[in-house]
Amino acid sequence: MAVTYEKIQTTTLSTSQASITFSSIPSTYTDLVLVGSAKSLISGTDSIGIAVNGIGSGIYSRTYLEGSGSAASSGRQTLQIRIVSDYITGTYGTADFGVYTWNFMDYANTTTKKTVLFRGSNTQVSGGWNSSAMVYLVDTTAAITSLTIGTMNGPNLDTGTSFTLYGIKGA
Amino acid sequence: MPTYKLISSVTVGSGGAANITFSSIPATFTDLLIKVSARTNRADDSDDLYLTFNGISSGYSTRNLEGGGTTVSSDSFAGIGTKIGRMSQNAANNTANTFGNSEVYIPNYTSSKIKSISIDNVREHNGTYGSLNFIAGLWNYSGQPAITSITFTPNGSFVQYSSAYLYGISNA
Repeated sequence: MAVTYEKIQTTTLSTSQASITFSSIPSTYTDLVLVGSAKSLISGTDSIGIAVNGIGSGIYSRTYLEGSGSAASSGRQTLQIRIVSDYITGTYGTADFGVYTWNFMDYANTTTKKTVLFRGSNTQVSGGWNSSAMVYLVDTTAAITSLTIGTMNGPNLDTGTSFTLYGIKGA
Repeated sequence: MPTYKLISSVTVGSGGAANITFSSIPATFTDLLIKVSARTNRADDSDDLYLTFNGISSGYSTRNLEGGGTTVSSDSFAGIGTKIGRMSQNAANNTANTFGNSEVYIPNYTSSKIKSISIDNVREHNGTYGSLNFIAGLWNYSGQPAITSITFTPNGSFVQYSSAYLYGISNA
């Protein structure tokens, strides 16, 4: 039976660091799935930011739906400098690692701009929880060949943070 | 090595079942994924499906984001720290032969850290009620044991053809 869901690369941090980069992503898959379990070293909440192909200018937009446990909300943001997740946990309290998944659709094509779907479950012991879903547009027709993952506010991703990039084969 | 492997599956027989349990889950994968298709015999417009690990009924918390077709809401299911919930499933008052669906993702299930769980859930029956849920779950239990068994329990009982598939995902 053909394998349709393949690991491309995985990184688990043994020491804290500012970012994780998956580079030289092969163009041989149909879609990419990025799965993360992450925590920031900031003393508060943070977000994950992903730069596509090293681009840190305002080519990213998103529409989000999120629930805090007491209220639901939705909004839109444009001209962002990263693919920004919902909250991730900082170092206060008995913080844990949330669950975050991005689907990069038709990432290798060079004719259309890129759509990305996100699901985040930020589960932490002391406040700041949320469950969220988002859709992003990356305003580039270039194939996605690298993803650089870091925090938006904190200095570093914490030890134990892990990200795995999978390739999905449609054929 | 395939990264996405079926570990076990359960399909409920004609007698129904009070719960679905996967036990003796091997520790050889990185993450777990469970896909559930369920309906119960509860005499209501829906039933709630709950999740527990290792037969333990404490240490759980949940945050839910729900769309009901006309409104969106969020809640924390206060008072149900004995399990993760609520995955809304089709029940006896729904259109015949319609089932709810849940996808449960558990990263790093063998780690000695607090366990985080992400759940997507849908319930539709071409009738009055339907719902979509995005659920964030957490299991913070003393000693942070590896997850070795998983149990799904509704208020009613699972009816025939309800099913659950447990997959192991490896990033090794």
